[in-house]
Amino acid sequence: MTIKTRIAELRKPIKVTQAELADAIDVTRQTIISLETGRYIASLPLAYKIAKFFGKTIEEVFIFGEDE
Amino acid sequence: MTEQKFIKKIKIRIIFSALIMLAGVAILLLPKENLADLVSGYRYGVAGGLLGAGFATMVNNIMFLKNEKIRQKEFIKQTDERNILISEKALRLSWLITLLLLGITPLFAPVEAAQPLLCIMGISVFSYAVAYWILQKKM
Repeated sequence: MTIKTRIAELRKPIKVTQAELADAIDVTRQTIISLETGRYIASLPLAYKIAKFFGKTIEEVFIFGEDE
Repeated sequence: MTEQKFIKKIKIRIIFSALIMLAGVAILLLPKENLADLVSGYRYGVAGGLLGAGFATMVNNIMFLKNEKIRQKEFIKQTDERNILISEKALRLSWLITLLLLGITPLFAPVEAAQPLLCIMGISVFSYAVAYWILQKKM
């Protein structure tokens, strides 16, 4: 299963930096960078926190796809 | 983990660091008569290590307790799920490397040296099995 995130895409229009998002959800900036680049997959509680921050559902922030 | 729980954890660590320092002092006060140089040196090394580690832990945690900004940073650093995952993966990898070395070294070592290594290997595998069994019941 592949998971892509729309964190960077959602962050830019509301002018939230990676550091600000990281502070708001109590994680390091490195975690946000890793999530945005797809190197790290968030846990369910973290995914929920991120989705809540943007006022979206988890499915709207994280795009789930099947491996071919 | 909430910040309140983190503060509680810091306080426990301060007490624990004081106990570590006390253990260091206790080792220094042990009787030294008829002690081989190697054992005596080892004792000083362990005592120094315990005192140093205890002191550093205590100073760090007192700083976290007093300074809210540093505490917040440390809270994020210690509770960040990616950091925790990295730490767990590093532990797993280092354990596997140690196990591999413990298994390979006896092939080239004399029997007297091989026995303790194989014993340590056995203990690690056994403790893994016990830990797995306990965690399986809990999760």
